[in-house]
Amino acid sequence: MSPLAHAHFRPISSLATPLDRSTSLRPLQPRVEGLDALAHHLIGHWRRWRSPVEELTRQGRESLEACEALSTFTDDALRVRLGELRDSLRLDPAEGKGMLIQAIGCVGQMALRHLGLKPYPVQFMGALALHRGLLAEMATGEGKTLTVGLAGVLAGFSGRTCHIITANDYLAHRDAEEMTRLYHACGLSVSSVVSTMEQAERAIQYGSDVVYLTAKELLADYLRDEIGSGSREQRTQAAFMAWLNGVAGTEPPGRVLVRGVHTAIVDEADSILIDEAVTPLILSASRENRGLAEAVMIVSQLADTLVEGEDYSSNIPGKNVQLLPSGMERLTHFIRDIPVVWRPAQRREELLRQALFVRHFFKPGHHYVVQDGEVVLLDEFTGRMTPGRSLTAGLHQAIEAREGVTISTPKESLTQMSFQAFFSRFRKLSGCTGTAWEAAAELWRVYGLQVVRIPEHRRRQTIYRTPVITRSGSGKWQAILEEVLKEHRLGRPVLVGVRSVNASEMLAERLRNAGCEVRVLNALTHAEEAEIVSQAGQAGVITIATNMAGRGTDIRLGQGVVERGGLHVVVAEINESLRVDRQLAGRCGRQGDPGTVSIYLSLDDDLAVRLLPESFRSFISLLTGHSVRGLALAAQRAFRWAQSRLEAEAFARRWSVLKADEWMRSALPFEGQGRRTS
Amino acid sequence: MNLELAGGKIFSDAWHRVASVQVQLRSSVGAHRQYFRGEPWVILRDRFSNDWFRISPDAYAFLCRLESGCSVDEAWNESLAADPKRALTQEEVVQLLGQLNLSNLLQYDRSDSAATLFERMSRRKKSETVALLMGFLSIKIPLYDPDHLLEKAMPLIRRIYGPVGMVLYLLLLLAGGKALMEESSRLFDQGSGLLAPSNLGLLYIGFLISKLLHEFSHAAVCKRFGGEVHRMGVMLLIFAPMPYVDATSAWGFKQRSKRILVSLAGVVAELAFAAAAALVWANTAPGTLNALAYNVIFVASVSTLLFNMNPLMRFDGYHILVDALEVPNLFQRSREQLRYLGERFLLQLPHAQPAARTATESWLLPAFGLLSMLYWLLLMFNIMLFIAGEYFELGVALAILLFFMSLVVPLFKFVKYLASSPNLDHHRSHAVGISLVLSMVAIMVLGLLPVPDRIRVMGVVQAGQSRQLHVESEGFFSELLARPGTVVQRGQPLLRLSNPDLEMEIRAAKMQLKQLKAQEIQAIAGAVAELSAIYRQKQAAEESLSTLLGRKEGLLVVAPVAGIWSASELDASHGQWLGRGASAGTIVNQEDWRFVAVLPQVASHAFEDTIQQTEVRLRGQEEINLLAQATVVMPFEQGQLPSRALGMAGGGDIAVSNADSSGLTAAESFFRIESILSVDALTHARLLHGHVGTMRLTLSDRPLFAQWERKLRQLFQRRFRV
Repeated sequence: MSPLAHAHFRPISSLATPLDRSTSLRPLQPRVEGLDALAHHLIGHWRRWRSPVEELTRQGRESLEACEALSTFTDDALRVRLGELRDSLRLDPAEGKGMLIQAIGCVGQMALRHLGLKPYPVQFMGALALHRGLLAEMATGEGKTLTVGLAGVLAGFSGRTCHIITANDYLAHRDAEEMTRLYHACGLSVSSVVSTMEQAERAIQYGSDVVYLTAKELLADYLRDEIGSGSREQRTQAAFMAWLNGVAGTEPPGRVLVRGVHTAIVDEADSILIDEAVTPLILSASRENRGLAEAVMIVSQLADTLVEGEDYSSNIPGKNVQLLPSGMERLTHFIRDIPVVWRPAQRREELLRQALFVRHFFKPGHHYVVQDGEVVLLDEFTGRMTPGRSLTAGLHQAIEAREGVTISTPKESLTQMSFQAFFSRFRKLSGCTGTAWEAAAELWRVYGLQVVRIPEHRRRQTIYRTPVITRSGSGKWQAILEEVLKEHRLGRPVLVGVRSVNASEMLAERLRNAGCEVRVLNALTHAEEAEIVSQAGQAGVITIATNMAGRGTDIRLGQGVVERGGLHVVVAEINESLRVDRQLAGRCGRQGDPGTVSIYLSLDDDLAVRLLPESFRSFISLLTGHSVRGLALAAQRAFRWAQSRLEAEAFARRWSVLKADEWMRSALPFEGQGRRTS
Repeated sequence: MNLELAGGKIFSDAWHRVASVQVQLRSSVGAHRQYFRGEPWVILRDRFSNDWFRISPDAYAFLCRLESGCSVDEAWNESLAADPKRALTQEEVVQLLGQLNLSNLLQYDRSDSAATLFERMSRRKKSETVALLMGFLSIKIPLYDPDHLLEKAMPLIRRIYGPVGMVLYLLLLLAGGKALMEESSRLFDQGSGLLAPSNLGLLYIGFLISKLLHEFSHAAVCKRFGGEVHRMGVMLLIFAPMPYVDATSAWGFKQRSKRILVSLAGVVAELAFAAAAALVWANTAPGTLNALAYNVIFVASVSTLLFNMNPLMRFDGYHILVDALEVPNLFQRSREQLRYLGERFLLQLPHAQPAARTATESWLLPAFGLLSMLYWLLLMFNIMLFIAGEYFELGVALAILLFFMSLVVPLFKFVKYLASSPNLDHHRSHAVGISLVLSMVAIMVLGLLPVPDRIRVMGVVQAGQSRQLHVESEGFFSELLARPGTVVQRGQPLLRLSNPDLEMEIRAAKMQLKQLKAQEIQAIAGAVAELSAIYRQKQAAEESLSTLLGRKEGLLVVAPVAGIWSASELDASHGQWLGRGASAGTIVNQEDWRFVAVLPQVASHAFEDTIQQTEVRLRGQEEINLLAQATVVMPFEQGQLPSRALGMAGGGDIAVSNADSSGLTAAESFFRIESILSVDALTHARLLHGHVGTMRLTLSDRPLFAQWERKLRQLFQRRFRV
């Protein structure tokens, strides 16, 4: 065959242009299996073990020197210098033609001049790690915002699209705002996208060099683009046809992500890449389903009359509900009332199971809140409201029926993608977080991200007090109340972390009764978030927060607080993941400030009830009250163990999401929009 | 998620993947109905690739809606409108389409998904290779498509497998049976030579021919009932080439009886072949043809009934059983049921799902599972021993493989199951605890708990005191004065010999004496000087006479001691010549018996150990357990066996030297074990000198692991001289 003929048969997909490569996701790589997976796992261990931290330390020091060397430059000279470095980075995004250290030093100088912040060597290190596509673990309060900003400028210099992923809208807005002067000084545009924006506005924002936003917004917009206007090939083809026919001006339908995707820097990477990756993002639209609402109402009424143990059994550790024969029997009495679609035994029983499941495992104020006659789900990890999110059809309606609000029409998914699949396809992915080491193996396995630990700038001064273990929940709240009052009298600011809206309200009520002024930060008060956080470090302020005050919340200490011992953090309810606890504890002791943390454990805690054996709990219960040395520590160990169990379970769930995704992709490869042309 | 779970979820999150797709079954896919245990199913089959899939009629109804060219979403809405009760849920549709697509049974209007087609192909290739390697004991190599040939032969096939053919078949079987009956004595005489090395070649040829017929018969009957046969080739069954045909299209037959008939066809043909061979064998003179026919008789009848019809091996018998019981996937599900039993009752998992759906299945499945597993192990063990005998290294490799497959792999799988099976969620610690306790108990019992250690050896009964009787003077056996085997008293005459020569000599001696006496008288009268010489002569003659008389007395054999006289050497008929010193039996003292046994020296632990108890059971009197005392083990290098019966020449365990025709000289060194049978043994059992029996030695207790390890070592030492 002649070379010409060969070229003729080359498939179209390999004709991807360099531009295409810089604006689109990588094709999905098949996941390694069997021995290859083992080898991959071992390589991950090896890489973490011989970590590049020494080289980074050296380069961080050099960057600082480069930064300081520029202090004599005038602003104009600096701008010229920056322009040169920007050009070299655009030509060679990885190493800037050997000028990478100079470039980051120069950006550091810009930060000093325009933000008034001089980066520490560890911040340079972190930025370099981000630039290299690593996942930097930096202790809480080490100034990750600036670190990400430095890396964002470098990414912006390269000319490729850069998205900086934050944990929530508030942080996206705040970080973009704080860094705006730096970006502008470096000649880059920056913007943030939040959930409330309209599509037209979004498209403008996405046009910036660097965009701050949450993972959900980015993936949702990406998916909207994917289903919106045909595949990439079709768009190219349409544009070509338009050009061929000479119909100028008929541009292909606009996309939201005008510049595509290329680089992602994920702040709070463990939260986004791991905790939130449990459920894939599903774009959905309402779709009328005849009879679902009536069926759900009937079944919900029935569910209220069923007796546990007689009609059904619930398995708390396993989080499932099983119907017993008598329950099924009672359901058959209603068979005439149930719409015909839902009559078959399997379907009606599924509805009843869902109704019972909701009653046992969905707690108002913890998993959802009712607002304006609508059920709004709360995010398990951040404690924030997630309007627009809904559970699988049936389950969501079951909650609505239980709360007595109008039953919404079920959502039908239009398309979906898991966060794992999305982020692992970025051409360049990096991230930073305070807590990544526990999840290093998973991050490597799923995203190919290597975790590197960046040393602390100043030694942490946080003092962990001996955990307090109480027999009952009420005893625990009493003890917390007393401790908060004690610290309050000393004039220290106190932050109490709880897990549900209800708990935060309850504790606030009791503290108010005790005569204190309390600020509550939870899903319902999210509008005042910035104001509450800015006050939380002032002397004598008591703040009660759900997990909202975890990641990224920078509590700056007020005047005279340092002398009194800094911020006191009370972990009132242990979380399902150790990383979330560590994040909460990380609110104090930032940048070498003093701070104390006390942890309260109760045998009534969800975690203990679900995972610790009855015998162990009664043993601990016998001993509490006596001053047994080491008891609290032993109990803490047990709680830690329970946490690790939950983390393993969560990993299994995420892994099954990934597996199901892969099964779908290989079994139902109908994603492509292209009809076969015959 | 499987189809059963999908039934509860009316909406699927993956619906968008399929909703707008126009998808339908490939045009090469045919469908037909089949009943399993009274339940209707639809079987889908791709004519080209021979891929199979079984779906419910409801699912098939949905697939039919898709044929009209509407999208999946439209079809689903239509089905919901038409018959909401039987319509599939979205999740069911998604799962159904996914599984069908993975089986390559779908075509759809999407162009850019061809990559997954290649992905599936490479995965399939890979799994086929793995299956080939794992099933190394039966590797199939397809060579030829016999369908065309069979098509041409259809008229013949119709005739053979028709009523006329059946009648002829029965007549052939009868004739063959008759021939065998008539020649039955000759039949079994030749039998011992069947497995002789010189015959193996012929045996294999006979085997090959009958298997070829067997396979063709499957193919022909399959074709006869409308199936297709596209693959024929060579199967390496335990590395021995064997023909095979792929008649799996018979699985698609609607009628169970037809499926069973196809499975039976092979054996039916082989039996006909055996009958024909019997006729040939009975009517030809010895020669190659005759020998071949003889081999075929056995191969085509016995072996085929033992192997092909054996439901425990996955040959025809298994498929017939599956069809007869209507338990599809019997083999696989029997293992699942065993697993369920383990999960439910050993690991105490409350949510374990049984594979058995009916009461019959709940005992049938585990029973089949256990039997087939035991059978497999036994078969493998014997194959291993056989091969190891021929090729030692290969045998050891097989043994290691067998050990690996039957112990290490299941153990590994179990540990993996404990560590990661989703079935164990929330019961994992419980299950791990139970398994730990059970395995601890097993290890304790097997590895630490001492149990009696016993060895069995062959030996003979010997009397403690016995007197060999020898004939003192030679003669013809003339009269039996006591019956052998009875108790005789001291001094009792036992038998009399007659010796005419001796009588003559005595007469001659007497005559000589008489003459000498006369001479003596003459000398006294005449010549005194000669007297002294005659006197000396007379003395000599007298002595010689008394010797002769003594020898005559010796002709009467008298019991020297009391006891049982056993005289196996004596010919009962009179007139037997017994030379001087010839054995006239043994007189055995009844009070005092020994048991002498021999033990190969690889079992040297018996020498070092203390013997706790010794019991003896005699052949023919196995019901009586005799206690023995004072057992002594003595090393004997290549010594004489106490009895011929203990050597291999006499049917015992000890190899004997070829140089010794008596079969008494042992070729390997052995231990001689002697013990005294207790007195009460006499009252119960009839003891005979030289009676063969088995001795059981109870050594000091030791754990089973130690015993097994030793036995294995000894097996290897003895069999393979390692």
